[in-house]
Amino acid sequence: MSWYERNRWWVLRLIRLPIDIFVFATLAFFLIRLLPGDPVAVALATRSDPVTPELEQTLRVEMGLDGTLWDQLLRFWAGLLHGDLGTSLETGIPVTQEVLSRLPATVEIILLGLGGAFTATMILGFCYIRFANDKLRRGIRLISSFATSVPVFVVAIFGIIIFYVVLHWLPAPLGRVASGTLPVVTGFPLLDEALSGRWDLLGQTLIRYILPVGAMVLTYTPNLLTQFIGGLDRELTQTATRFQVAAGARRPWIYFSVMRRSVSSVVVIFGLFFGALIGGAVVIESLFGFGGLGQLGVRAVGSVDFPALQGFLILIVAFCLVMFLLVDLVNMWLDPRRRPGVASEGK
Amino acid sequence: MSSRRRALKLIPAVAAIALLVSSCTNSGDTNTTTDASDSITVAIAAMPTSYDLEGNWAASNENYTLWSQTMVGLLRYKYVETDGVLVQDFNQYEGVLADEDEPYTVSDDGQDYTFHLREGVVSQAGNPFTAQDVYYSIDRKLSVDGGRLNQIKDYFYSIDQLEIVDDYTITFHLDDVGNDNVFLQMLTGQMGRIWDSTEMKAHATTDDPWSEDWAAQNTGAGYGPYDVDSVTADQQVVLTANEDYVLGAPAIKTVTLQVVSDSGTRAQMLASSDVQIAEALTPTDQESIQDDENVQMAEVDNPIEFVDLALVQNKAPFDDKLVRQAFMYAVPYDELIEQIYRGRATTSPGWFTPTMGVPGLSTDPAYTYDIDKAKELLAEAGKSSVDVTLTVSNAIPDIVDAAIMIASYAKDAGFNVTVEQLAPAEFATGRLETTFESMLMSNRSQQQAPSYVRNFFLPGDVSNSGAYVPTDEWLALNQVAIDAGTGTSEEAAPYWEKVNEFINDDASQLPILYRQPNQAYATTLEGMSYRYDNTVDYSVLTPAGS
Repeated sequence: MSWYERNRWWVLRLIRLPIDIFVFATLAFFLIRLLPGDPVAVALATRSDPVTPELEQTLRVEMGLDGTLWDQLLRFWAGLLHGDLGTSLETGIPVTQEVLSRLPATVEIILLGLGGAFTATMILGFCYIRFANDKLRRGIRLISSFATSVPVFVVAIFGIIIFYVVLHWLPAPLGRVASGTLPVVTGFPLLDEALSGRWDLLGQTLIRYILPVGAMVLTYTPNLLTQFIGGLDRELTQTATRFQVAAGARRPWIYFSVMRRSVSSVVVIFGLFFGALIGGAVVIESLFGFGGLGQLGVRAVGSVDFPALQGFLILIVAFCLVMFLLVDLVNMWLDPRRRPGVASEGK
Repeated sequence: MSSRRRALKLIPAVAAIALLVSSCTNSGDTNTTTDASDSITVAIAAMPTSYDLEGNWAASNENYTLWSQTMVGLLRYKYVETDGVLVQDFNQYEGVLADEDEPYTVSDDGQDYTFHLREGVVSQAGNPFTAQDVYYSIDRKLSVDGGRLNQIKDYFYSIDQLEIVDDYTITFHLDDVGNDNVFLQMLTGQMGRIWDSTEMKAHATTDDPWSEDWAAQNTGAGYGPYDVDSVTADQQVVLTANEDYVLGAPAIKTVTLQVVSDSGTRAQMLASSDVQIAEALTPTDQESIQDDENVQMAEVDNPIEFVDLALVQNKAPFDDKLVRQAFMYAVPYDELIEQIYRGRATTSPGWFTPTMGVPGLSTDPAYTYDIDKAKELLAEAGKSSVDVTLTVSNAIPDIVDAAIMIASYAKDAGFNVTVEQLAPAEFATGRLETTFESMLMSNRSQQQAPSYVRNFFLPGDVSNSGAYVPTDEWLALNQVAIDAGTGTSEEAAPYWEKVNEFINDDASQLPILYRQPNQAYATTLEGMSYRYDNTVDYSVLTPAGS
C-alpha cells in the first residue's frame, strides 16, 4: 500500500478545502446582491443635499460597485486570490480585520459553552456505563430527553431574569467587564486578561461568563448526551466489547474503549453546533452585550455592507469547513474503520 | 493510549478547578455602577461606525454623538436653562474656538464675516490652534466628496473666499448672501467642526490627501471636550475628558458608551442604576421608567425632532393635491400623541417651529383629524375610496405603530392603507429613489432657520421625500421672504407665514408631530441638554449637588 493510498483519506479532503471555499464565496457574492437595498442609496440617504448622477457614480466607484456584475465578480475573485476581501463600506476598515478581530472572542465563548457541554456529556456517559443503578440511568436518559426542546436564548433570558433582575447575584449583562477596557493581545479575552496580568478583569469576565456558558451547557448537553448514550447502548452489546470482557481486559480499559467507539457521533454534533454557533452566537452575544461576529453580520445586513457581509460569510464558512474537516479527521483517528479507502472497506 | 486515558481523567479535574477559580474571584461586583461620580456609563443602541462625518459616512445617532463630543467648531448655540434642561437657542451664538466676547463681526454690507479666534487653545494632539486650522478645515469641507457645504453653495463655494488676516483672524467673503442666515448655522452645526491641521496632515497620503481613512476610525485631531480612549468592538467606546478643552475641562472625566441593543433593556438598566444615561428609548420604554425615583427626562417647549409624513407627488394617488390634503385630515394627530408617543410629543404647525425665532408665527396645528373634511376633499377629487401603501422602516418601533394607527383611522375617510414594513436599507433606497407612494419616518431639521426649509423641497435632494417640484409661486414666495429681511426680523415674518401656509396647503411632506427627546438620565446627574442634533452633551453634565 503506497503512502498516498494510506493517506488519501485526509490528503483529498485538504485539497478540496480551498475549492469548496472558492465555490461558496462565489455563491455568497451572488446571494448578497439579491438583498433589497442599494448600498450607494443607503450612504446617500443620510445626507441632505441634492444627489446628482455624478455624485452617485463617484460613490459607486468609491465603493467598488461600478461596472457590470461580471466586472465586480472578476474584481472580487482577484481580491480573493490575494486574500483581500475589500473594506467595509460602513467603517472603511478592511473586512479581514473586521472579522478576524472578532473571531477569537466569539470562538472563546462558544468553546467554553460547548466544551462544558461536551465535558458534562462525557461525565454523564461514564456514569451511565459505570454504575448499574437504574434510577441514575433513568435520570441520565431524562436529561437527554430535553434535547432540542428549548432554544439557548430562552435559557439565557431566564437566567438573566432570575440571577440578575430578581436575585441580583450576577452583574448586569453589560459586556465582559464592569468598566475599563479589555486588553487585546491574541483576541481571546480571558487569555489576554491573563497574559496582561489583569486578574481583576479576568475575575469579572469569568463571572460574566457564568450565565451564557451555563445556558449553553444546559441547552447543548442533552443534545450531545442523546447521541452518546445511544452509541453507548449500541457499543456495549457489540462483539468487540464482549470479547474484551471475556478476555479479562481491565475495567477502565473497557470503559475507555466503549466510550471511544461511541463518541464519534457526539463529535459530529459538536462540530455542527460549533459551526452553527459561529454565525449564530449573535443572540447570546447581544443578550450579554458581548459583541462579536454575530453583531458584525447583523450590522452588515442592516446597512447592506456588501464587502463586510461577503467577508463575514466567507470567513465563517471557511472556519466551519475547517472545523468539519477536523471533526472528520478526529473521528477517523478515533475509529480507523471510518477512513475511506482503508482495507477494512474491502477496497 | 495511556496518555489519552490520563487526558480523559483530567477533564473533570480541570472543570472543577475552573469552577473553583470563578467562584473565588471577586464576586462582589454585581453592581456595575461606577462609584466615582465623575465617571458615567451610557447605554447606547449601536456602535458608532465612523468618527468623521465629512465624508460619505452614515450619519447615525451614535456617529453624531461621537462627532459632537470629539470635535467642536468656531461657534455653538447658546445654552439657555429652562426647567432643568439646557436648551440650545438657535438664534444666539457663542464662541467656542472663536473669541468668547466677540466671536465674529459682520461687515456693514453683510457680505464679510470676520472671526476672531481664541488664543492659547491647543488641540487634543497638543498643537496650538491658529487661523491655519480653520482654513484647512474649510478647504477639506469643500474638497472631500460629501463635505456637505452644499446648503450655502450659492454664496460660499470656493476656498478663495476665505482670507487669513493673521494667526487669530480669518474672514469669509460671502458672495451676494442677502438675508440668508443659514451661514452661521452651518458653521455652528455638524459641518462647522474644525480640525487640527497639523495632526491631520500627518496622516495624509498621496491617495488620501484629506486623511479620510484615518479620520474615519481615529480621533485626537480636534478640539472637542472628549477624546476616544479605547474601543472594544461592538461593545463599548470609552471617552476621556480633554483637560485642555477650550470651554473648561468637563466635570465628567470618563464616559463609557455601552451598546445595549434593546431599548427596553436600556431603560431598565437606567432604572436599576446600572447605567446613568439611556439613549434612543422608545416612547413606551420612556413611559415605563418615567416615575422611577432614579430617573429624570428632559421635556422642552419646542422639540425639533419630528415624525415626517411624505405623500409622494410623482405618482397616483398623491399626484392630486386634493387627495393629499384629504389624507392629512385623515391622520389622528391627537391619538398618535397620546397613544403612541405617550403624551411626549406636541402638535405640528408645519415646518416652521418657534425655535426659528420668526416673530408671531402661528403655532396652530397645520392639520387636525377631520373625517368629514377628508371625505369632502376626496369627493371633490372625484373619489370615494383610495388605496394607499404607507411604507416605513421596520427598525423604528414607534414609527411602525404610528403607521398602523394612521391606517386604521384613515379607513373612515375612505383610504385603504396598507402598511409596508421594510428593512432600513431597502427603505433608504426607496426613499432616495422616490419609488414609494407615501412614507412615515423620523426626521429632524438641524438648521432651524426659515430659509433652510427650502432644502426639503429641492429637486433631487435626498430630503425632498415628497418629490415636490418647485413652482414659480413657491420660488417667488421664498424670494420675497428672504428679500424682506433676516429670518428673525419683523419685516420678513408675514412672508414666512405665507411660505408656511403654502407648504401646509400643498401637503406633500409635513411634520405631523414634534416629539420630545428620547433619552433618560439618572437623577445623580445635572445638566440634561437638548441640542440641534438630538445628542446628549456629556461635557455640560455635572454630578448632582456638585
